[in-house]
Amino acid sequence: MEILWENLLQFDWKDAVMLLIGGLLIFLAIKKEMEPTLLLPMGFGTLLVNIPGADVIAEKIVHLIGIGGENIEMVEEGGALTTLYNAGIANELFPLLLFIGIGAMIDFGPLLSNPKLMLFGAAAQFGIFFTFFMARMFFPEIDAASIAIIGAADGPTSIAVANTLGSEYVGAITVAAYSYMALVPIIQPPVIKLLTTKKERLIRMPYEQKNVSKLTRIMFPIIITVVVSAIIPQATGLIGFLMFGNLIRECGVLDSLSETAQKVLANLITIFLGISVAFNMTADKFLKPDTLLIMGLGLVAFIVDTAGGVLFAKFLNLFLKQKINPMIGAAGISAFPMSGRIVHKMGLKEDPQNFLLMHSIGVNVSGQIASVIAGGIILNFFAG
Amino acid sequence: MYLLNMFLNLLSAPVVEKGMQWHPEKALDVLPKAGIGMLVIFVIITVIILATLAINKIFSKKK
Repeated sequence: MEILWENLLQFDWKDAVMLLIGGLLIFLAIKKEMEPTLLLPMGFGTLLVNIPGADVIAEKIVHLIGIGGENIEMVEEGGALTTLYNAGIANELFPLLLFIGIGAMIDFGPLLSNPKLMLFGAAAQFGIFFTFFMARMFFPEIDAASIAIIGAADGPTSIAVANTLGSEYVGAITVAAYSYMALVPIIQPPVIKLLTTKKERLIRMPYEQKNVSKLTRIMFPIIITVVVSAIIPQATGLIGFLMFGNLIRECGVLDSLSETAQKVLANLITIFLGISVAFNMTADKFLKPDTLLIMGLGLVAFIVDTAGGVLFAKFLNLFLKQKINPMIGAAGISAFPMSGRIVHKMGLKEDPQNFLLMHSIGVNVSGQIASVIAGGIILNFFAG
Repeated sequence: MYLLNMFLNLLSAPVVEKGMQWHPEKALDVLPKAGIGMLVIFVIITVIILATLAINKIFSKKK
């Protein structure tokens, strides 16, 4: 009985706050449907790791006897979450496996019909590098680079990059990345409206359905992998697994594998990824003023990404005869397919006959590729 | 660069007085890397666009 009482007394206010944060993540996932596939496992994992002495991340002290007969005490990490974290996140395995599923879900058809749309994907990564510049004022270079990658608007990339760089803020970065991805419908429209005129939002973009050959669809993931990996070897894992998933989808002879990658693999890895990311959601790592700053910088990254895409489209319009609706530039952030749909809806709201979906989705998938390249560039600068 | 430096110094003045950790000068150090990073993305994407246009042309002709 006394031991049970002692266990209860181990709780301090920080643990209680973290339990509330875990509860909040679960609430947002269930009630507000904010990225529930990740926020719910993460929220529950947060509860698990913040119970003092919980065996999921327990440390064991092992007593060894040295060669000279002296007693040596060694701390050995144990617990299911520690094991999962070491097996899947510390070595980037889970984010990369998740990329196979994401690659299998993406249809590059609209992009292949009009490859020039990829430029918007590049422009919308501006938020990453702007945030890197801003974050460096407050954080060491490695952490600033890890925080900046929130602007990739892509959870697995954020986790992989922050972990590879060894940032101590992986938990906060992951929460920021997924929260803002869920908040894209709230963050993007005001920024787009602020930067465009009514006349620009009304620009119609007729879509020409071009026949993309099967061979093109097969060659595309292979060529992207070779080109990107040759230029930035540090991006090979990220781009390679993404394009491998897409090749499974497009090859036409692995339909069952494609279906497995899209559903079973992606779901399974999401469960493990979510709950094991919570390994970093302990009070000592999360309850800092830095966390608030990271959340703020993450928001800056998303806003500047959106602005970068829109302003780039406006810039191109200065030279083009057939104008582009600058709203599609905003879809260059890789929050797929949400961002593409938002732009389409905004277009319809301005003019019910203005169908931007195919263009915005094309830009959106290019954002996925560009964000992975941006992750590779950050790793190229700072990893190892 | 001089103007940016001056602007950052102005921004930092009241914060430094409060004793917070805020190093605007370090942000300037990473400016070239940020610029190069953005440039490299555009270069790679341009290469990919050209490659895609090429394979589109080659394989649609064969078909």
